Amino acid sequence: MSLVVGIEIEGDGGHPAAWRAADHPPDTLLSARRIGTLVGELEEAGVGFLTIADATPSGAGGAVPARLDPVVLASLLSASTTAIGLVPQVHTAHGEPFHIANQLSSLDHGSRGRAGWWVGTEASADRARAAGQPWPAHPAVLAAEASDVVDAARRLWDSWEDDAIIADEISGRFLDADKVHHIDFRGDQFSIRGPGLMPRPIQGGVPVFADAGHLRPGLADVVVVRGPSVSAVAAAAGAARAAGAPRVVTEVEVVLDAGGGAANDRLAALDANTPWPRGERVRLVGHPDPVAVGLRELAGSVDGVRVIPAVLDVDLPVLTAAVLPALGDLVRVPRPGGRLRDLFGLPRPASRYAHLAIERESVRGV
Amino acid sequence: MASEELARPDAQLHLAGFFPFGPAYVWSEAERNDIYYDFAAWRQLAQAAERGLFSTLFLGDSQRLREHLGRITDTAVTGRPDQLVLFAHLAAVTERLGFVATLNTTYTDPVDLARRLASVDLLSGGRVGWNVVTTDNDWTGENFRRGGDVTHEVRYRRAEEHLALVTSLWSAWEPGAVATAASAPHWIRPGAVHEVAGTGSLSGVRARPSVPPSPQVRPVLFQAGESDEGREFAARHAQGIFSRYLQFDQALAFATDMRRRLVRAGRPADDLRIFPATRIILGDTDAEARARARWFGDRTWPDRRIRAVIEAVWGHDLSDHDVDGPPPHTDPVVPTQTLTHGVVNTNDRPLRTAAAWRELAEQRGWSIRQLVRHLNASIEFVGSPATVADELTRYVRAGAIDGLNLQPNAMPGGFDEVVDRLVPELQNRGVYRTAYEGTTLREQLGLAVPS
Ligand SMILES: Cc1cc2nc3c(=O)[nH]c(=O)nc-3n(C[C@H](O)[C@H](O)[C@H](O)COP(=O)(O)O)c2cc1C
Repeated sequence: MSLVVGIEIEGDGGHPAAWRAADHPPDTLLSARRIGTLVGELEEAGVGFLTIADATPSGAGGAVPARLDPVVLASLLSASTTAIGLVPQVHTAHGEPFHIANQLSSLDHGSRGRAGWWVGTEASADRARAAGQPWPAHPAVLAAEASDVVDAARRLWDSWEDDAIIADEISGRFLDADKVHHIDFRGDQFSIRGPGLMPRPIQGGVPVFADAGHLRPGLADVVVVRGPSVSAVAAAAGAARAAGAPRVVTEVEVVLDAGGGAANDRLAALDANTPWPRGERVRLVGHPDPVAVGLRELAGSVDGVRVIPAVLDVDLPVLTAAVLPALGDLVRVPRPGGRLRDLFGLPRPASRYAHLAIERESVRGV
Repeated sequence: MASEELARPDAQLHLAGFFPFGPAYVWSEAERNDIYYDFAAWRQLAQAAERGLFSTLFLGDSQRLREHLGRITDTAVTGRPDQLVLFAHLAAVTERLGFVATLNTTYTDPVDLARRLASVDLLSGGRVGWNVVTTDNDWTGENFRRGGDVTHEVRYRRAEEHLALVTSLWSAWEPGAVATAASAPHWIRPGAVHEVAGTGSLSGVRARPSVPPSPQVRPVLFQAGESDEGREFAARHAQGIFSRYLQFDQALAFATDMRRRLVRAGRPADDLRIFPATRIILGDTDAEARARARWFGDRTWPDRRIRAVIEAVWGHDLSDHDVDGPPPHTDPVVPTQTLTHGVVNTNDRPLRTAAAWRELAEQRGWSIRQLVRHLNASIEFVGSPATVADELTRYVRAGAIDGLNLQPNAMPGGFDEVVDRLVPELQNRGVYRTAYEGTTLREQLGLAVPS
């Protein structure tokens, strides 16, 4: 049994009032130095991957309106880290799949195989309006679009076979054009001729993290399940595996005894400011030991967790100093230079076009 | 002429590291086949540029792999990393170097593009520029939901609407509005982030920025495109322009034309930096540099690449044709000419081009090889560091150019010689900075902060 631990790093933490408890002034929230230092500490502590959530600004009063493009931020962080997985959230609704695929492929090259894609499901009115649509599309349309976007991206990643670059000076060929393919993808919302703009990603395909049931079968590498309790998560994980999920993760909200305050008191004080509504996630609140026990129990049914700390500056130091050590060998620690797929024990997929290479060989052999 | 040459006695040359993805490199000299896509190699290139006090890196763009006769072009380095993903990575390992990304207004979502550029701009401390292009072909559109038949005029109308939305998003977050202490009543002053509406074909768009202004307020705008519409667009909006003109008189004529247009648009004549692309090849002596340039030219123009230039016009495979013989006597297969794509200006008429090329080759007694090398001869600066520095000083002081988009001759060490040998010569002539002027791209380029 083992557990890959991921941390969500967007903003000041999962709690909507987190900024009031942060260690830094609000106007340094998006500073490269602040975020780089935080992520350096996560890597040091053996955290397996980070996620960066995304949402369209709503203009709602009270909400912190600042955020960076998650893929851009992940790429900045790829330069100062060597082991931690980088998993930005990228929503599919209204996006340009050709750009999304190339950006994630570039992130995978830039991080030497540490990129992942947290497939976002945002379908808000704000998102629709930012794309020039008066209201969100019908859920069935969005669902088909989500699968098409991921499907097209995976085809683009495969479109350069692994050994497409030959750089053969004698023949004057940089590429073997037989090994770079048009994908000719046709969906209801878009079509793409291809090929992709980059050689195949280091990981073959960037691992796709997606909610259970959100995509057509076979498109997700890591399926995200949720439930309000450990047993609910276990049931959802079992169902996901039965449906063919290669790997399963869940999300956990964490509030710890930290900064001289008991977890419950801290949460109550933050909630008095802005309530943090309970959603579909496990929430662990308390001393590091019982929180570690909760994570250990989850490890019985899932391969990894995405931890959403209430306040990054306050909860992370305790998480890394007390909770992760209490889990000991259970935590799968990424290795410098390693790939995100390795961390999850996911094999590097063969390109769907690789059979063409075999056919070509056999034709030549005749 | 003499007076023109001293038109700007204090003018400074800007170097931009330019990597076009397209030209051939001497592959056997590279450490690895895929070095052109390797961010570690890019890191070396960027750090060399910064050591040499380059103003910026500058990347061109193409959102479809080049094709030749219906297949992916195999004679040149093709494909490219996403520019902003690459630049975000490089921003973390540099401190002063700028980053200019070429992104088109035809196949991108303005709200997304505004945020991505603003993100890299903020994270880099204000070092980003956007080279606004419209892309010259519909064929690229086959990769996008925004694709389809887009005429030249529609492209530039869209460019106006797209750019207007992007710049209004960049101005919609009031400066200094975010709290400086966690004890403040609000994270941000209420009402300090405004909703922005698109116009024309973007009139349904309503959006808000999520990234505050950077130290240079917003990215510097560049433009590339040379029709009358393109030049007017630049005169209205751009503070940098990527030009094609490097022959001295043509460069000066272009610069003069652009300055006149700026004044007509109500701007100061010197509010625009002009950057044509080139290579620099150095040697201890001029003769040695010329020998190196010949070596580089021969190695990067193998028979296959020479033949591809002719095939692109004739429209079919000519692999049974000797490149040291005359151009084909047959006429081009006209319709298939459109299968060779991805090079700016492929739409000239093949029959006419073929006739002209045949005539030129006959007159001069040229083989295909000689013809193609002649047609593709671009202006490069070849010579000893002193010779090249003198020549560049003349260009800059005359006001013919402000900078160069400099292609490295190799990856990743391709800027080292220029940095180590040419930059000191330029500095001795007082035509190149000895320290960065500031921290932002706007400061390095000597441009005013927008109001
Ligand atoms: C020097 C130069 C460089 C250009 N670079 C690019 C580029 O990298 N990517 C691109 O999509 N278009 C590029 N363009 C194309 C322009 O954006 C424009 O679409 C094209 O030149 C047609 O417009 P025009 O008639 O105004 O020149 C370039 C144009 C010029 C003149």
